[in-house]
Amino acid sequence: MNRLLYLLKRILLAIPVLLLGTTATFAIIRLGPLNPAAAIVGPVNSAQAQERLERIEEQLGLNDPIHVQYAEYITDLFTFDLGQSWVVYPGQDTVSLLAQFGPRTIWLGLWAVLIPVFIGIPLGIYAGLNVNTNRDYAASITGIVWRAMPNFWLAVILLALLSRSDTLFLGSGWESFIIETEIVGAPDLSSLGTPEGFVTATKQILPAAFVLGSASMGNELRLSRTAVLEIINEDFIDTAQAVGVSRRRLIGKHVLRNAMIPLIPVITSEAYILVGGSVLVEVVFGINGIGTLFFDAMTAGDLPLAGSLMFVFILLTVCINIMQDILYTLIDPRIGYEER
Amino acid sequence: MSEPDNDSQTGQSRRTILKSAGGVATVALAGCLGGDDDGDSGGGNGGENGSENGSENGGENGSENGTSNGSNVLSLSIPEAANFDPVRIKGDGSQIVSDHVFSELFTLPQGGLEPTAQLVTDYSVSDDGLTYTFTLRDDVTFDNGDQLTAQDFVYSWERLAASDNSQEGETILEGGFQIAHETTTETVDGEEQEVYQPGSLAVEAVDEGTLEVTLESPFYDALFWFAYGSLSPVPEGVVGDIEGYDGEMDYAEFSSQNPVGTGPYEIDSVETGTEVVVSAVDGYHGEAPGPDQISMQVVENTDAIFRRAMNRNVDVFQVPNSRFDPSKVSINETRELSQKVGTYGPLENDETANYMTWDEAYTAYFIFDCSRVEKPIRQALNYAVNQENFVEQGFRGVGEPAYHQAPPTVYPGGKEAYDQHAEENFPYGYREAQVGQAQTVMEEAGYGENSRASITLSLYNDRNPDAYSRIAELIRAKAESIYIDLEIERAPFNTIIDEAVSGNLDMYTLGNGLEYPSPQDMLKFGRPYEGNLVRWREDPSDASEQAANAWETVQNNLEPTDAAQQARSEAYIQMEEAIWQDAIYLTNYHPRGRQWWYDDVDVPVQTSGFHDRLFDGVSFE
Amino acid sequence: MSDPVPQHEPDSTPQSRLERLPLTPTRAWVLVAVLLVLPQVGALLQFLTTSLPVGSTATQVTDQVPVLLSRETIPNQGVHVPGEGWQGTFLGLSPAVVWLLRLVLVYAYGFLCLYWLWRGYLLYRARYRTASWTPLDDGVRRFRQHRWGQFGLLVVLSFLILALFAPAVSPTSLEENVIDPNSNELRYYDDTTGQIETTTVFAANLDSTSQGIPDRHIGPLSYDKYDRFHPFGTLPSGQDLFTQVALGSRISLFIGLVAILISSVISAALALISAYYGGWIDLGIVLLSDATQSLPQLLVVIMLSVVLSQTWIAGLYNGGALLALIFALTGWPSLWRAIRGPALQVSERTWVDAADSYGLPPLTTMRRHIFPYIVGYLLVYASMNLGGIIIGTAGLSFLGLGISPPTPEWGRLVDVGQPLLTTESWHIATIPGVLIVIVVTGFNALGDGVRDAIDAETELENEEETTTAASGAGG
Repeated sequence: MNRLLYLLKRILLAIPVLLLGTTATFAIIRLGPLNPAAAIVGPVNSAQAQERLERIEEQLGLNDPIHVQYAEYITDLFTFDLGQSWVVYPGQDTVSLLAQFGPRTIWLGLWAVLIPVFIGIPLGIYAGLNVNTNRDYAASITGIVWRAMPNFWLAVILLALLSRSDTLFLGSGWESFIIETEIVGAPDLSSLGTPEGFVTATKQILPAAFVLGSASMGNELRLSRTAVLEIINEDFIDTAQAVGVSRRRLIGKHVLRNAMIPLIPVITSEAYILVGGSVLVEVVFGINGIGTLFFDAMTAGDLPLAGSLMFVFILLTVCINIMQDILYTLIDPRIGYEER
Repeated sequence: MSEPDNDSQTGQSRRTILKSAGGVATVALAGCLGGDDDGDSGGGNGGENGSENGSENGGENGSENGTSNGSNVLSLSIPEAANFDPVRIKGDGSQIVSDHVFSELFTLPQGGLEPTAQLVTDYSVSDDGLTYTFTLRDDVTFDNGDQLTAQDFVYSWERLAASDNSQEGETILEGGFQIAHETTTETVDGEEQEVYQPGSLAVEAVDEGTLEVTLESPFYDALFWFAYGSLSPVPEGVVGDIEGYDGEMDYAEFSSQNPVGTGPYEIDSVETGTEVVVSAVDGYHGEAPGPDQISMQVVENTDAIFRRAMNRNVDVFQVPNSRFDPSKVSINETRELSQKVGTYGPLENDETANYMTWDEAYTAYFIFDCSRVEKPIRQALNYAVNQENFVEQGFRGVGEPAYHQAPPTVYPGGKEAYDQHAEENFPYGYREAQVGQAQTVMEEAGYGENSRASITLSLYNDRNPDAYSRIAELIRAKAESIYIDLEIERAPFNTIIDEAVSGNLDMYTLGNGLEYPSPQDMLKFGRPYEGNLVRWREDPSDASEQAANAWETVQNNLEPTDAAQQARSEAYIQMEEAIWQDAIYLTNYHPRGRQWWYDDVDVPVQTSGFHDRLFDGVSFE
Repeated sequence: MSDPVPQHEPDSTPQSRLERLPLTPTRAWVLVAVLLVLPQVGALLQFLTTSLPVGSTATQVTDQVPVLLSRETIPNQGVHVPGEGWQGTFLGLSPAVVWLLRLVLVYAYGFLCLYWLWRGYLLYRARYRTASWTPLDDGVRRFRQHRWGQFGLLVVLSFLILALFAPAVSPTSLEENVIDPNSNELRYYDDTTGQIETTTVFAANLDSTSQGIPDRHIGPLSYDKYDRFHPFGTLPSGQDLFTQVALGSRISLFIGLVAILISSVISAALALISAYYGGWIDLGIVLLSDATQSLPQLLVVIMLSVVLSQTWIAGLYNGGALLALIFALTGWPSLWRAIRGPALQVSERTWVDAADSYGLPPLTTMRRHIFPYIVGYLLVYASMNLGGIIIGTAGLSFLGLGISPPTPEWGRLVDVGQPLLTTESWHIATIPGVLIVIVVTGFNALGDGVRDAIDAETELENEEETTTAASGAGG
């Protein structure tokens, strides 16, 4: 099977996945006890509450037969007509809400992928090169504990530590370290172009990204350590060492490059976990991103918003999956198309 | 809320004697500006979500002196910012934005509850109390530069009544205060309903500067309704959501990006869900506001709000409940409407801040579905709890234990009469629990250790359910010892309402912020009628009849006279006692609003929960 | 296996009548069994009746059975009269010492029982097993050299003991302290009256709260005004934190085990089917798993727990059963993916073909010839996933979803304590959080150890799968 055909097959397979996923979302919201009309009416203790409830239900089309609602929902989604929010941001287009909330989550996700890559992998390689020493144990155990920490708890603890960090960070405390920012709150992404804006936005997101990426950091540390170990034990390293390649060069060129190969798909698959994982971190750090938006939409029964967000999430994860498969086959042709 | 009493519009003998605004012979006036306490204000909505959360989460606003941007920039933290349309039910944050951008015919003055003119120079009432004629100020312009005319009101109120986007239509179409209108029959979901007939509202622009409004029936507190947020004018034709208008802008743009009103501030920029910046209107017709700009950040995290305050990059702030230490409060002054002013400190940063607290005009209670929970159980629960524990454990002693439906400020005779009446007459133990009595009641009803009753208490599913969890836990623990297995259930707010309307809940949290300072606004729910969530009609008794009769008395005495007021007051107390007798509620507490500020700024004292939450009066030292 | 308990030989001073019996190792082992079970019969029954839905009468009956290691036999609640010391506590010791003593005894007992089980296994291996060697022996041997795995085992066993003996190690009972404090009374010495007074636990709790201000704070290892000792301090409601932590371990364990069990069954069945039949059936399962996985797990869990919170399932075990089901339904694909590879590999082996051509029914082939090969993998991933589920449950409780009060749950404790974290009452959120980290680390380490024990040649791919599994729930 050639690559193009394989790609085509993956994309074709993605369609039923998308259908199944969005259908599940619809079923969960519409067949459960959530009632967006009640959320709109509010806690009204009056004779007219019931009538108003019915009127709003009629308005929103909640009284139509369920299959009609479903057909409408699916057609709208698959024609990329994502509709308007009902409850959380009434009257606003889902697309514009996505455009407003999305960048913050993407910014968070980006750093949550980068931090583990830049901290976890070097630490793992360091541990792998110093295998079975105290340094190795220290690094490995750190990685394992990182992984075991619940994000929400780590977030809460980190927040408490940072807000009490007066003596750390060159005696200035986190808030005024390098540049004045608040510990909690959404980063301002409007002036990313300027160096100051970039530093501010980055510093603002770092604690949250650190938490969100903590599990990945542990994972990558472990994996890169193992990868280095495996490659060090390979024959060609011995050979290279025998022909007099310097250790530094050896590590730099052979070990690192080869160790990176199995890591790349891990990183992409982590990007996909982050998509769904951001809600807890966003709640604690007060970042009004997609995660918070989804949570609010979900609890308020805001079907168009929650459904559309889910649709986008699924689309995103399916894309990442496909990309990962393609990357895999590109990097390591030994892996068959069928196996994965 | 009452059904329309009559549809006739007879007896409109009109008199056009102009009286100075606010001088009208009404009694017990107070404002109804959809104050912050019931953020999602609307006809009798329970801002449980709003107020309780507000205070629990450390409140809807801290504010900060934006020193970086020059002098007069005030920055606030608000809990959310979504939709600023006056005709929508809003959350606390959106309400604050809306309060700054929009203004109404009347307003409540600092320190008092008598509505004063804001957008009118003069007004008159016809002899029969039905027709109000307003002469508008001619120097008022909207933020977009248009002059305010009577036609704008016709449009705005038609929107309130007829627009699909409106959620507050009942403020003028139902209840004691009603603007005359016609209804038409519409079939919704197989049932016939009376709905508003578009275009039939009795609001008329006599000329550019004269507005005439005819009420369905005389109402003593009508001026408050003309000061109510939903009745704010918007420029005619700004959105096309009623017949005859195409709209100058999209609804989404108007409601969430660019609301246009006559208030002291106009929208500068909106970043949805993150930040709203408003700036003072040039050449504002009223008193020039203090801060040139108010920047409102959406912040929910209590710790963040507190941290900002402690770092002193904030001048006006709230201390979240979890940090509040009652022993640090010292009150220096108590004002007429029980506003208290004093100091709080030392804070963590060794500063001592100014502190004020005011009555929110709000009653929080647990509501029983009488058709599902029988009277002995309701009474026993009332016996078993001590409301003082609720305030103490849930809110660290800030607030008043509630015994009546009417909050102390509006109770006939005020706080003293409230306390006295409760102490002498509350049957279930005033400031004490009577577990023995509770057990007796249950035993007499046939319950015991081996035949326990079981009910479910439903709570809103907040993210930080601190106070209510603790209060619910207190009730559950008490219930356990009086043969009641009380299960605590959490559900999203909308599910609770939906289930409550469908009659699937036993007992759940509710609360009401008053819109005008009369017990009527609370007690309209405390009587047997079709559609009442208490479902008192389905468990009739002498008491329910007493309540119904008393309500009838109130309805027959809505005129703005002393005699009518006396009759109403007596009827209110009868209703309160009938409610006690059948124990249809388990009252919780009356919250108090709180605000802290450092000496750098001067913050006017918030008068009551009826007042707008405005920061235009803040001045910088 | 490390030996946390000193060598325990069967009782060497038997009664004279017993002397006549030849004391074979087996008999000694059985004798110890009886000795070990006796003191705890009551607790065992109580545990069974409270954790199984058998009705209140059974609970009442089992409550009557005396238990050696319990608050009743070793009471830690007493009255401290100045000048006279403690009254009503075990041997007149202070409640703190009594509590610690009981904790130590319970753990000593627990590990003794485990050691006894281990001796039993060795005995079985040496005497009764017909085969002189099985692959399991190699695994056990490898595990005995795996320090990290042993650490995991130690943590997991400690967690199990905590869950099993929760009522015995707690300074007070859930019933008295949380469920029905208003009916339970308490004697204490009142400083102002100088008398021994009586009050309800309800009132005492209201006066022993931890709410982050000096007036309202009972920290770890301290006494409240009512002479009660709180090893982990109190909650904002005045309830004892240790009691809730100890009992909360039960629900975490329950959810984790049930969820893992269900998803293991699903994934094993599907893996067997797809390995055996392959082709379109395999593709269909791939699709189903992809669709399930494409929904972000945490979000789906949030959605489902919101939506199903009103249904009857939510009533089972205070929402525990519902959570277990949700985690099982969303978690199976990761397990299935992990074991599908090995299952495919083995299905291509000759012996499977041979079995097929021999005419064995598919079910038998699957069960006998494919399943044993994947069960080891299943164990490893299950152990890893368990940590993820514990984190996920806590995360949900943190958002106000999940287990409803008064059933204690670790995540809710963190949630309750969160606003107080930077105040004096920091202990409420910190202690349960640290425990979650330790337990999850333990399960992960145990998984590592078992994997290395089963399969000396660690394949990278496996590691990759397990790694993502461990943090899969993302909480």
